[in-house]
Amino acid sequence: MKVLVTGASGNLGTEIAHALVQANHGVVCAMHQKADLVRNDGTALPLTCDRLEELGPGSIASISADVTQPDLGISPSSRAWLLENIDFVIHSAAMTDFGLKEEVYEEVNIRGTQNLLSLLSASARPIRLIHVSTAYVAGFWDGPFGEDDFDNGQEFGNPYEWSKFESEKIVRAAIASGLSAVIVRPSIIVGESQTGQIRDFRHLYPLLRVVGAGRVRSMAGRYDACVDLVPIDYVASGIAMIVDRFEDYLGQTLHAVSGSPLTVRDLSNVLAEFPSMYVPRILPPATFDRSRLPSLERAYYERLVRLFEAYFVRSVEFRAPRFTTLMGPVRLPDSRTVFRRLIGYGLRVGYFGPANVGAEQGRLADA
Amino acid sequence: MSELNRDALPMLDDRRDVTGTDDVENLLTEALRRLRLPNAYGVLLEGSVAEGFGNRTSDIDFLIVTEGPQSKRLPTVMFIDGRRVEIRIRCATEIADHAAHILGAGAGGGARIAALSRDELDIFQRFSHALVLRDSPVVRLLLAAHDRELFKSIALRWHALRAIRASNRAWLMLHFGNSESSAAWMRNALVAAGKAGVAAAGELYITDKWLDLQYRRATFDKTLRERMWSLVGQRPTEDELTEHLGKCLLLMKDLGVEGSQTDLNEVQIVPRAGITTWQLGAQVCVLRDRTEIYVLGSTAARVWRSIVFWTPIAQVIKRGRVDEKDARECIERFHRLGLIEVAWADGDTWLRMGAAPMVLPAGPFVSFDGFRVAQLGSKDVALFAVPAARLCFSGAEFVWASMCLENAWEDFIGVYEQKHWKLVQTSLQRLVSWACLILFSAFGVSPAPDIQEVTARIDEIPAVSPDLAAEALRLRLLDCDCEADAIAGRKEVEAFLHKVKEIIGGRLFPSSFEHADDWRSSLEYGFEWGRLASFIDPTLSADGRSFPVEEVRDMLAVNQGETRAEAIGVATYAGNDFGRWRRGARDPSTERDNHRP
Repeated sequence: MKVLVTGASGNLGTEIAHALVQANHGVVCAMHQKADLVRNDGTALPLTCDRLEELGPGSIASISADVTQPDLGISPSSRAWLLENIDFVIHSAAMTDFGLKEEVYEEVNIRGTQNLLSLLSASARPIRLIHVSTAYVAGFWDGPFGEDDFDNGQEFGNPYEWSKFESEKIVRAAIASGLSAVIVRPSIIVGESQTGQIRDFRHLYPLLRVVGAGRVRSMAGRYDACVDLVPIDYVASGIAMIVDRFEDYLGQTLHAVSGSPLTVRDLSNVLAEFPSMYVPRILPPATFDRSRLPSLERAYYERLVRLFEAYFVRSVEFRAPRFTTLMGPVRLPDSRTVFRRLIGYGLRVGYFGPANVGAEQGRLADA
Repeated sequence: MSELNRDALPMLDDRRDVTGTDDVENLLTEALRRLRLPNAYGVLLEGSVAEGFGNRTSDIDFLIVTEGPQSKRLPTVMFIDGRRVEIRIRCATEIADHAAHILGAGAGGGARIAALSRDELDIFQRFSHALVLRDSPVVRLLLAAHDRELFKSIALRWHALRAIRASNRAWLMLHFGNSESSAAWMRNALVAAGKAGVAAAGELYITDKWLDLQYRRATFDKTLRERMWSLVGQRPTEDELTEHLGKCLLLMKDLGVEGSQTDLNEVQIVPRAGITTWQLGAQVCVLRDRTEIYVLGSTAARVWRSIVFWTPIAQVIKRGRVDEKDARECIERFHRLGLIEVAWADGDTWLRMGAAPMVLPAGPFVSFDGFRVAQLGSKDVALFAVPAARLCFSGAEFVWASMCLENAWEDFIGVYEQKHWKLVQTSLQRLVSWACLILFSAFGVSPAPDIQEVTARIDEIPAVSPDLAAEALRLRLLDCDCEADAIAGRKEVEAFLHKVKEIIGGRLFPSSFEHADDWRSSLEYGFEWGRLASFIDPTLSADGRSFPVEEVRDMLAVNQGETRAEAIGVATYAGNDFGRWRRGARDPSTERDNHRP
């Protein structure tokens, strides 16, 4: 199969591209900025074709693209080739950082998806879509949230979640109009399941850095709130597998989640195992007043911690029977172990403090 | 099985002097009469007497090879004509499996060999070097499968690894500024290297305590023996320590042991299970196993917060932004308290150290016959401030250490009569070490420090005066080259034991090894402590060190339903051979060398 991957230079996108190449698919990487593809483990994922026309099984090519532009800003010749040759599109391009203006999410996540669907609709032959959404379209939904659940009238924790909800809504409408698509909803993507290694320290990581260093000692939240962390390798291999089993899941949604969420209590218990990491005080949101924090702590809180508050108050429980069936015998380590590994990795490479000489040994020993 | 034809014995070699063979024959006849064993394939004499190291006080160790269905975990003990006789019963298939296990580890390389326990090697060696008293084709087949050449390479490597680990630890203690512990570990390394040296010359008896006899018997450069005892007997000052350790490494090299790591950059701090860190206001608290909490002073807290696991100690010290000497001291303390572990950079060497003394100012509160509570009124119900598990494991360790003390005393008597002054020296030194371990146990310290460094650490017990601590250190290095030394040494050690008894506020153990009644009473105390400890923790693992409570559990398990021993008027013995049948990896450097001859 020939597969176009949007957002291919992103941490997840590159891993998906690699998994597809491993499965002997031909991969076209749509990249916003011209860059080398770097895998999660830091190794290069080399492009093997200079021209799209050379693309064959197990090979990899790239095109320049910008999802905010009509036709993704792809050159007419590339566009023509793609519409005639591509079998699948995996849409993993998205703005996932927190704390940006609403317009940014709207432009990249919502309009980007619209632009992609417009492009696909121009094709005379069917091109199938795997849309990467997020499990957190569940927003503030409390309790079980199934793979078939979508609009339960929930509210959202931030503009990112809202924008992903809106873009998924567009894809769902297209499915209703005949688009062949599968929606995949990962939860919070973290480091590799065995080593904790991660290429980009984003999302949860900056929060852990600030809290672990003791820069912010108190935050609003509930100890019984649940957070689902899913290792990047699990998500990437699952998405690549859907390409081969697309018909089984046509029109359906799958939750790429760990299935064993960690409570905020679990998270802080694991943090306590690392002498250099501070365990934050989790205070009831009703009584927590960030304006009373010391000035430096308040600055960190306003700039960063506040963006994540939503994750530490809700107790949504993602159900994932389809994705679990898809993954078959592949089983994740216990979520505490996953969290322990990601902290351990961050410490060894100096993200949560100064870099260490013995990092490589520690990685081997932990593995 | 047939009567022994001594001329036909392939195992007897001319180095061994097995005195009093007729006595052995008579003891065996009597033992077999009492036991009435069916289906035996043969009987062998093993242990120190078979090895040629026996003396008047040595136990006579018989091994009976049976059809099965399974080996008895623990030997039966009987006293015959004033001699203590131990009879082990092993089934032929277990003997064959055990041999395959040991020799298989040899093919598996260093890590597999290091993972073998002293007990496992000892069992193999005892059998492979036993004297056949009742022969049969099965016994010969089993002996033929005990490849002594291959075992020689395994034993040599095992002792060498043990020596390297102990010397690594000595260097670590040097960097930590703990010179007494450093010297103590290096002594241990030298003895292990000596064992590797004599093993290369074919002397494979596993236990350390007859090393000097092995030196003398082996075809060997005798100056190495002299250098070893000279270095073992030294107590370097802090200034002399680095040079001393260097000399020791040279000797180890001459004994064929190389590979010690001497640099703090090669030692990493690694996590210890069950340790978590919590902040209470400005205070840093470290919680262990959710039962014990340590509050850190400001410098200690800063150093603690600078710890990143899998980082060289040298790097953590730099990161702490405190005085380097203070940082070393703090890390040493964290290690000693069991809050961290350290590992050498090769990744397979792990060190564990015991917990801190949890000393109540009221004095010692554990004894072999129960808890000591000051001024316990008849209607009082006293609550101990020390966790129950710690108290009960201490009790079990107390019993164990007491038994080992008895054993060292018995050895002393035997070698004194033989006028073997170097062995008199080591048995007196062992008496001092075990007495110190008893002290730790009496104060509820569990797990206690390793036997190698107990003398260096008894000053941590407030009830121990500086004078007594100094005396322990001196006596641990007591030198004995002639009868006058032996007499003086015995007097001093007895005086030391007396002071220990005064501190713990009671007698030491019954004379377990001399009379059946004393032995029975020792066992009863052991059972009671062991039973309590096993109720508290059915896995009976104290701080990852399964010793000795697990052995006490074995003792219990065997004795429950063991009515035959009672019927024939003997006690089931679980003395220093506790755990003999148990398989499991231990770090040889931390293993206590306390096996019976």
